[in-house]
Amino acid sequence: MADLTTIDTNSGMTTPSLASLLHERLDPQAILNSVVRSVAGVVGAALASADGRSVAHSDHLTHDPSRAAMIAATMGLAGQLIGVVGGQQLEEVVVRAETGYVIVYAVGTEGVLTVLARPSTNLHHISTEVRARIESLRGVVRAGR
Amino acid sequence: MNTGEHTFKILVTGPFAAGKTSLIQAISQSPVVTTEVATSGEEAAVKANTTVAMDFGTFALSPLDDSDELVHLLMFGTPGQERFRFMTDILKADVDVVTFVVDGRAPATFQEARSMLALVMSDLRVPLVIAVNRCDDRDQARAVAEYLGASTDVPAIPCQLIDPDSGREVVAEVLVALLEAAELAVTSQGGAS
Repeated sequence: MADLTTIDTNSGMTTPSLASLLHERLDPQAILNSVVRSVAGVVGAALASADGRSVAHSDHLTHDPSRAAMIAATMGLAGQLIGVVGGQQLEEVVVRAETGYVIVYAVGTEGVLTVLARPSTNLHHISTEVRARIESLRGVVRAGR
Repeated sequence: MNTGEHTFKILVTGPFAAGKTSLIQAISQSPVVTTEVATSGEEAAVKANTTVAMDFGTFALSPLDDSDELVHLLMFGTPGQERFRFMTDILKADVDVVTFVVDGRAPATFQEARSMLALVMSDLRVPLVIAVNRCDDRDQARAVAEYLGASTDVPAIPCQLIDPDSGREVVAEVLVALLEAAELAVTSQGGAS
């Protein structure tokens, strides 16, 4: 598996152009696709509002309003559950099954990002890639309100 | 002698912005577990926050004397929007009574409320109490309940759920409904034996 912290110029990946970077900043689907591409094992990513409306999803995922609502409900309960350990700000929820992971990240207080990944995926890599994009995603969620 | 302790589970459901969270907050004796987040889209014009998973509150009725029973009510509130209907399906398991909340001044929600009510009660054999929020008139509350398809023996309570006293009236009706259901169960058991 490629080490994502180093750039391998022989891997066939091209350096993104300024135009494509700008496009990615503005287009939620492009941001979500870039999350999928950046970590081996990630199969999909979806953005929803904290109150359960689907905002955007990566290619290969279908539009699924009930997924957005389930994610919002999960985050709503988890946000209360962190009080048990004296937490204030929920960061993420990891759901693990034999078939893979569903990881949900808080995008500010108004959005939720869901990442679907295979069982062997390095969760730390996902977290790093998500954090790099969280501000852009916050902007998308705010703009959609 | 204390004849026992009873715990009842109440489902508090109804359409978006009916007053479900307000009802639980008005009457709960323990800090309410809420899952409210900022509302988005056109729903944001109706209210700032909305429940996304559940509300939870409790109410205990202390015994009047030694022969009286201690009654605990556990209140589970659902989100109102159609997209969260799966939470209602989860929360309705093993409920003892349903409190259906509707905003009496939002007739635009009545049609959805009617189908919601039919759906939630379709596989339940428990008493139903209808709380008509933002309503002062018994006849008007009854008319709303009838529009929702409730039979005439279903209590329809006019209430102002921003007022805790008004919320307690709803609890009183819920307790009466539970008591009547318990008496009915005892009577039918007696008849069968």
